Amino acid sequence: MRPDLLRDSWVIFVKEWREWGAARAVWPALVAPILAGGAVAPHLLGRFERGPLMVGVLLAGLPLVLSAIMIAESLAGERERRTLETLLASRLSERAILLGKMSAAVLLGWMLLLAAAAPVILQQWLAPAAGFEQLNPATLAWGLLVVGAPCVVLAVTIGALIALYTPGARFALFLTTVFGGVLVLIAFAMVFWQPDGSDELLVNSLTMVGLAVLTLDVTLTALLLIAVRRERMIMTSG
Amino acid sequence: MPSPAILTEQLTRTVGAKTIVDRVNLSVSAGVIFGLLGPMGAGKTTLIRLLLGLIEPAYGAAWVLGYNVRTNAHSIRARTGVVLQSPGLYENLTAFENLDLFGRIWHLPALERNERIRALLRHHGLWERRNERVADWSPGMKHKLAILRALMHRPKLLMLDEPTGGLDAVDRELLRADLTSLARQEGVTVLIATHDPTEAALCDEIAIMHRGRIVAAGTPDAIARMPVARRRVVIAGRGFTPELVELVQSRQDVTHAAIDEQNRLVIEVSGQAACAAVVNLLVESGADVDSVMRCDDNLAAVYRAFVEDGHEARPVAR
Repeated sequence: MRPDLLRDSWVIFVKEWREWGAARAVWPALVAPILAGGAVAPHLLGRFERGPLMVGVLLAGLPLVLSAIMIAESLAGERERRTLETLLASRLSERAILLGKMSAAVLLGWMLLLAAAAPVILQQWLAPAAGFEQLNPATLAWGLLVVGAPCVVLAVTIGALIALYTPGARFALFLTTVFGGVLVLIAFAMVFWQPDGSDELLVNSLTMVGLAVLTLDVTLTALLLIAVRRERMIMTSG
Repeated sequence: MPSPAILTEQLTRTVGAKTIVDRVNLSVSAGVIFGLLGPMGAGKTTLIRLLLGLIEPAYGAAWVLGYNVRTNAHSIRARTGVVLQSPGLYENLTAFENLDLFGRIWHLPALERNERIRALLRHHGLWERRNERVADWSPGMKHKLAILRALMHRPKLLMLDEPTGGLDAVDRELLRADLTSLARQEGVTVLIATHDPTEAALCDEIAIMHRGRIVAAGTPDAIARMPVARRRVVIAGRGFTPELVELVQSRQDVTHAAIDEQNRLVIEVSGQAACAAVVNLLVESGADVDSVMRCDDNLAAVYRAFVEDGHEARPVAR
């Protein structure tokens, strides 16, 4: 990777965070549902089949969807506001722009994921739900790290893909939200698919899922960075 | 002879069956202010995008600052400052933050970046408002800031798409003075895309673009003297009866004839001999002619002729 690419990506990364920081409506919209979910989640533990895992997925789903929406808005929204074309007309490469935007959205997703899952892990650590005393909170934390974190990258990559191939920002956001919903449903299904039995078996299973998602992440991100073109990013005929 | 800053050969951009830029041959000398004059939809913005390598040509070739747009567009963009039709500013950021972002993009060291921002904002009277969010600014101020952003890295070539749109008269003058100073003192080549003939008249060289093609090119004076234009002629005198106006109007070389509020006969003629012929007709018909004023012997008239009458391209000697 060329040093310029990293340096330029960092400029865009910082720009994204500055923009989010300056946008007054962004933080309440992001943090409020996460906090509300975090407050309610411990009370839901044990009420569903596979309680903590189910609630963990429920909470992790929101950061996934939000981070996908953030990258889609960042690309498709900037294209509509004509700021993306200004960036593309500068010395920045399209890869640096994309990498900077994606890494900013990934970090945001990870932070939201941590904020959402922490209350559940804490609850399991301090006062495990009835019937789930055997479930180690470290296993939940491991699941967060090896499955949740790569899933955020996957959500961001697919959000970027949707934004690059969808003409309007509104339609891109709609498609991204639908995609995020599907991803959460898959995660729910995987909770039921998790094997019953020892904690060790669960850890191994989570690790396998995490590796599979990570492989998908690397492949998709590489393909996206190789295939991205200025014309595609501007999406103009003229 | 120095190589031109911009050179295109048969540059063409098509989308489906539609040709947006049609076999454009253009040569822009280094260090001049070049105006690309044309109505909305003429293909000016697309041509700028092609020259920046933002979109691919379907056919033809172009070199900007000596670099091929197909193979070395990155080098072109690295040396060019651009303001496209929209200011393209980050509205949630302050004016300072917007300029600082682009200073970082151009890898300006922190000290130089801050000094450059201060100098640019002070020169244009925006320093006091540097910490205001751009979203709260007027369109004219945003446009001004966008131009300053394009100047941040001291580019060799400046491309401005409708640069004075939204600017008031004072800012327009300031911008023109700045652009002239950039071209004369620093050797910066300035490409201005505009639909305003008055603005284009201030350029060193211009090209009129219509329906994707360059229909005329040369200095503003040379183009203003082109014989293709309709000329507006104001004739003062007496005896311009409605019948006489109708008679004048019926001539093939007269496209329009009317009496204005001061009872003068205002006609639009095509061809150089038409004016004298009309005056003869008036005198022979019994009218008195006191004075004849050709008031459209300028770029705007030629431009209108090309755009409204659809004149075909003619080479103009430089």
